[in-house]
Amino acid sequence: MRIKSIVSESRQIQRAIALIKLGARLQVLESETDLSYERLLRLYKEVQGESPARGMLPFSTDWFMTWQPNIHSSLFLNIYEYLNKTTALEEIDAIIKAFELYLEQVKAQEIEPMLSVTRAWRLVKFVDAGMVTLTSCGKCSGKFVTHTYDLTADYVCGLCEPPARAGKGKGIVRKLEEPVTH
Amino acid sequence: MTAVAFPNEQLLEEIREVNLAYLVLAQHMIRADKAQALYRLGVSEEVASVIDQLTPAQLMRIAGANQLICRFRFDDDMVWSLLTSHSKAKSTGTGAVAGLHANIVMAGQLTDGQ
Repeated sequence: MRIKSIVSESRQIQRAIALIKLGARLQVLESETDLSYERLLRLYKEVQGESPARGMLPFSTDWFMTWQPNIHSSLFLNIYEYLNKTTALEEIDAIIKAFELYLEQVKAQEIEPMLSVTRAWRLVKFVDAGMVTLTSCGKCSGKFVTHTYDLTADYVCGLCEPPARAGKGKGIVRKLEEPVTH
Repeated sequence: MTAVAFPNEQLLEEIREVNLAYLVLAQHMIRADKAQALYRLGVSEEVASVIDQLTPAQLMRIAGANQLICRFRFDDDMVWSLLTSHSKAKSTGTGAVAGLHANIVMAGQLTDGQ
């Protein structure tokens, strides 16, 4: 699509730069800006000093349901929803701002961020598509990422009742059991 | 004599300082990035606009009260118990992510009656 306004183009470039700096994959940029593939590629190399990673994006919702990723995703999505409810932002700007706040928060706790901006963006798209939602935990009333059609009447989050093997790995991302959601 | 007339002078001075520091920081955050400031401050967009518009003279006048103008943003027991049990959870098996529990509950709460 050809962009007519220079102001709008400049805003899109700024947005693309912010996303590249946060480590976004090229597919995110293609989807969220009207800039051509060639220009995005050049911009990416200019900002990151290397070619973008190739390959497909993760497309499954299951990653967000595993124990540690679920905690990170839930924190991000809560922040994202907060921003969305309090201010009128375009979706991609809300994702960028929420992701920055998520990174800050995780670093303040001296934890390695587990969610990438690309995953965060996917998560919001899954929410938009109605595949994933936030469900309140019956114990702590915190809201956590769950599948939309899970039976969540007496949902308890993975932090109130961690699965048996939780935290036993040495910081390695492992496929842990999903929290009990029935 | 003055010590009798103003027994809380020291206290009032400290309140003034906290108020002023809070207002200046809030104004700075709102001007830098309003959306993120609303999240950090936990105030509504209307309140943020008011703070944004305050002149230095107004800031000084508002700060010089005998009440603190900021207060605790969370008043439920769950948040407090999560915040205070954080260090305990860190040493148990659930590991570092337990520290994010309070953050998740806090981020999910809109303050200011919204």
